[in-house]
Amino acid sequence: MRLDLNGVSARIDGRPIVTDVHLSAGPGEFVALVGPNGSGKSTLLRTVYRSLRPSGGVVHLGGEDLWRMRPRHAARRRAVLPQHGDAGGEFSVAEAVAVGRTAHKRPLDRENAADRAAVTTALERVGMAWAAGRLLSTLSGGERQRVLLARALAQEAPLLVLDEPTNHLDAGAQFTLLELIRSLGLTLLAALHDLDHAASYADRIVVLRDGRVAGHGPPGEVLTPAFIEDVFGVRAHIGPHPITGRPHVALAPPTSPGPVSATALEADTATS
Amino acid sequence: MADTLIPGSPSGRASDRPATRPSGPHLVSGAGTGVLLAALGAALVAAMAAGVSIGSVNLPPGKVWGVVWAHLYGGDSDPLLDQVVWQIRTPRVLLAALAGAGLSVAGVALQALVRNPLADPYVLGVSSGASLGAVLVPALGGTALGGVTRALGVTGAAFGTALLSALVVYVLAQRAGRLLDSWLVLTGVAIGYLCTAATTFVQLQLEPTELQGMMFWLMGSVAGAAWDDLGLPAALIAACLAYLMLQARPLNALLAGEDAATGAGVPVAALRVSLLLVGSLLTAAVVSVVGGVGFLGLMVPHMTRFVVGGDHRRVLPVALLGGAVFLVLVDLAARIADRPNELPVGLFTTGLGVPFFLWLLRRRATGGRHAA
Repeated sequence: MRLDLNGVSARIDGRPIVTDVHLSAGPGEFVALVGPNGSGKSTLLRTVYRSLRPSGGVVHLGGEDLWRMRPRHAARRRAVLPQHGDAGGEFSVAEAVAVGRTAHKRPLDRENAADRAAVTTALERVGMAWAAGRLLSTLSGGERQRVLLARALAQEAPLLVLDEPTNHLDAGAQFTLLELIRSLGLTLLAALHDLDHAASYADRIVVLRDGRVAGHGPPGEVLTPAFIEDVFGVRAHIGPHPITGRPHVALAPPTSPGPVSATALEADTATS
Repeated sequence: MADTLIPGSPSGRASDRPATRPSGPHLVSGAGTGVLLAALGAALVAAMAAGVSIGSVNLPPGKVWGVVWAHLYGGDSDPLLDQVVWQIRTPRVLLAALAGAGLSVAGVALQALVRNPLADPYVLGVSSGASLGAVLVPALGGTALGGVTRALGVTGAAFGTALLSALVVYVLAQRAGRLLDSWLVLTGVAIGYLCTAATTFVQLQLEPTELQGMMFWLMGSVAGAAWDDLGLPAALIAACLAYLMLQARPLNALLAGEDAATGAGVPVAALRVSLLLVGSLLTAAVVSVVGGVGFLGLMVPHMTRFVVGGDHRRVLPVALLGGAVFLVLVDLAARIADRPNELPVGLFTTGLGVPFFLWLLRRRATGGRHAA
């Protein structure tokens, strides 16, 4: 499923937050949305959730205007994992994931085999099938985020939109989640705050600054030290990751001193 | 695929964990819900039978059933007994059941609207808003209308002011699109005070010597119920419950937040408007006949979720029946606690509800598990 944002602008309380953004994600492509805090990433994503109507431009989903679709129709094509997306209330994990089936059900429909299979499959894919009968509120942050991802997967939509899915997760949980979403074979649009994650996992990167696209393209082309310093105000070094060999972004404060010598680093680690 | 990922999971305790019961973590779920509903139905019948039998004069159940039987299937019964059982106690007990059911379901609707279990028609000032509309009708000369029109008039006016106060609280309590506990409760209490003051003022214009009427709107009572009082609330509660049951899945999604619900295909804005309407309508339907009965919409849904979990397909019918049983029993207690005097039911629901409310508030503040 293709996603095309054609000149999308969005306002909150009359204030322009996002201006004339062009962005597209082809079938199976992972597009990362990066940018400093307040650059409009979440606001832009909300125009794709259909929570915030664009003040200008069109969001096309598979060539159709997303905002002209019926809500259910849109939800069978596009699932979301928003930033503030707890389940609220006393829901079991299976019940929380079943919320993803809402768009597939009419008011009087009962749960059928397809719904149960979708919930089970989604939980298995995120490795949380063991927790189906647990209360969602008893899980750890990383486990809960995987369940909320399963909720989006149970929607069985070919496009998945995620807003900083690794927020508040520990290092292990962050990689688990990123590996997982990349393995899904879905079209992905994800706001990521970690440039290194974006460089390692995304096929293409779109950089937002003050609500406008400041750069876009494959990570290796967009993320140059000069560009990162310009947009984020930090010094950057790009090179192969010492362990994985993927593109690796190392960052430092703009005024940091030069490289620390290896012996000094060792001495530092020894004392701490 | 999942297996290869699990070792990297931060919990490190994934596949070796025993699978939990497939029935789920709630005390009652699946087929148990049917059993629970049947038990609550039986409890309601038993509570209503007790409510009709017990009072200033206790009547043996056999005689009570004789009167009910005579009315349902024809036959004769003692006129005095008939007066007590059929004209006084039966409508009273039925009204208590309706009011308990209506306020509990109103609580569920308002809690889904604001995504906060502290919401309740009384706490949010919607009950006080409804009272104001109800007393405005006689003040504005509505008494000239007779019969059904009058009942519709009072409930209609109560609905108008209930909706207005619910809307004001809903809008004013928002902080950057989010509803915080403190703002929600404080705004609701403030609007409630304003409506109560206005109600008192209107009543003083009407009947300077009548304190009983004011008590009714403050504390609520099912005494003096007549058969004519029952039809409209029953119809409105049935219609609202049917609507909410059809929206049960979207209601579940709404608890996950606006963006998640929209993403799942729920028309959130339209659903919220309908919840404001339904919450206000249920409150108005009940308050215009029983006055201000507080905290039922807070206690009953909370106890319901404790037993059956958060799924609205179970919460709605269980809260409906649970609320009915609860208020019938509270009314019974209100009649026998201080015989031969009767206490207003609202006194009891507030006496139980305030400690419950404070406990819930503290638990949310410290636990943060449900923080809005």
